[in-house]
Amino acid sequence: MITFMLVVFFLLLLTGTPIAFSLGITAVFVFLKMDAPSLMKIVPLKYYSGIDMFALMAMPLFMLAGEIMNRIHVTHRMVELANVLIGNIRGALAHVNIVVSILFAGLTGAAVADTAALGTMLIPAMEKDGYHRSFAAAVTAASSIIGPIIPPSIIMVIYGSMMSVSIAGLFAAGIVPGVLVGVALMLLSARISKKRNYPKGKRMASLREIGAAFRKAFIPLLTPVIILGGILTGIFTPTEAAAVAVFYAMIIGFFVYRNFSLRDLPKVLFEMVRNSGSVFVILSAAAILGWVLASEQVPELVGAKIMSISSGKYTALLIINVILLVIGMFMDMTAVIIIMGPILHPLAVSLGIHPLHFGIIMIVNVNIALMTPPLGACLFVACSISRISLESISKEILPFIAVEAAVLILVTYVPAISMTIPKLLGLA
Amino acid sequence: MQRINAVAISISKVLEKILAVPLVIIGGLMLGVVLIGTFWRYVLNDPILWTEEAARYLMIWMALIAASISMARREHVSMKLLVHRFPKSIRNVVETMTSMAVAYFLYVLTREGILMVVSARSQISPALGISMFWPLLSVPLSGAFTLVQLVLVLVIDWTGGPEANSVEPGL
Repeated sequence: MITFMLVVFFLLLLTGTPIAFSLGITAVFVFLKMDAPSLMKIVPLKYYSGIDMFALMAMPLFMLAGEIMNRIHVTHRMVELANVLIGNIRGALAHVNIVVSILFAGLTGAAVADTAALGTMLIPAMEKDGYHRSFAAAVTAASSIIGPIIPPSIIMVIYGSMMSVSIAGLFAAGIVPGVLVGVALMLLSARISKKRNYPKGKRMASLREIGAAFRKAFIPLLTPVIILGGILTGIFTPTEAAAVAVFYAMIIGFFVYRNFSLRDLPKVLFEMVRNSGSVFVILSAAAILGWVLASEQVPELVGAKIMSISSGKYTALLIINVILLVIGMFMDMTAVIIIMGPILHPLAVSLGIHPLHFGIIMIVNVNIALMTPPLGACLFVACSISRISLESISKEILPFIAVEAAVLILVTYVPAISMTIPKLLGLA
Repeated sequence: MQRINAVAISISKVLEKILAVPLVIIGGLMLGVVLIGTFWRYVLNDPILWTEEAARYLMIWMALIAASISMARREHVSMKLLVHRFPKSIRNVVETMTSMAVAYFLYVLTREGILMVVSARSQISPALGISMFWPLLSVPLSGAFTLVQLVLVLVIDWTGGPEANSVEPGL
């Protein structure tokens, strides 16, 4: 039956069937093959209960907050701020790109939207300054994966809701690994900039300029303080924090930047509806197949298989990482988490890995896959903005992938990187 | 052929628009309900019991019905890399076959969903006290609307493909 499931699922997937329906059809075909029409009633039940979770609401609401932040041009203020802070070092714009990704990560929760917003601004600016366009695109794509690792993070909301792991705990655990990715990328950019003699920025900014840029960016910069402060101290649930973030972003747009009006509201709400339409069904359909997998005891079988190859937890983690990277290279990040999470999570817990730590490993891993050729979504976005071919960005992005893979190894084998902050806050 | 293509495209657009307006309202209500719940709980210190449940039902309606919009806009996440390398004729056959499988799934979802909704009529939701008929109704409707859009997408593809410049719905 497991072979049957695998064959049906991958046949559908490779022939271009949407992932959500591939999952659902596989489950329905299993019921047909078992000749158990009475089990068909599982289909609508799981389709509903798979998304019947209050915590999951943080996902569309964070999408909405990000949509508004992008629309009111928060990115511009962040770029200005980063520019006056580090604009005078060699390869300045590459560093600005990465720093803004870190700052922006605290405001929104998605990677692909950030790539689009930042890339449209910075790739042309970098080219004008004498950087290779493929390098500019590669930096943008590589740094955009910081967004989902630093909280708030939509993928962590999905992971936490599905696996019943504390979302606040995941948020806390993601901070250090996310900053670490940023620092590693900056070190690499500095090296490349020196080798290729990329331009230094202008002179050092004066204190007055720094003050002015900071004042403009200050109000949106409070968002992560409100969101994270609220969630990590346990005042808000992630869903409430997301709603407050939307409210705050609207207030900034209405009263501070004055570039958002009530007439824009239906537009951003429609974007939320539209994005929800393709994400939630994956969760719903995965819940149906998840029921089948559980009744066939697939998680136990996969666990036993991995354990038979290796007895220790370190080798098991290595195998899990390789499997995830390979699958993540071909499949959407959300889908990988939704499909592989319920199978791998129990295995990791039985190996004595802390659920928060394992969550971060999975999330960093699938994010790296997001920029891995030939199918990474962030790569495509960066390519289409900069109008370069997939081949030329692929060559430029390889060193960045190598650096991020090194961070992944660190995060995997040094639990303290993820676990220190949650432990200090009493979330683990 | 062109006539059928144009008709199918306009039906698909009209259905999308008819659903988009209430969905935007539902999305706005969901945000509003969560904010009200948050405000009453933290600022007024007087928690309202029904907001969590109401917001959840609104989210489920929004998400499941929006699946039909994603279908119409061909935005469901999929891997098209391999299929796009096939010659056009084989690609059409393959896509028609997989669409049939999707249609069957959506048909099962709708049929079984109606049975589920009917049998849940007498169940009452814990906080709002409404019949579970209402939140569960989103499942068969999601199946049916998405199925209709899938059929329209197929018809559009058979009769010459979607318009080159599609128009955003007027929101």
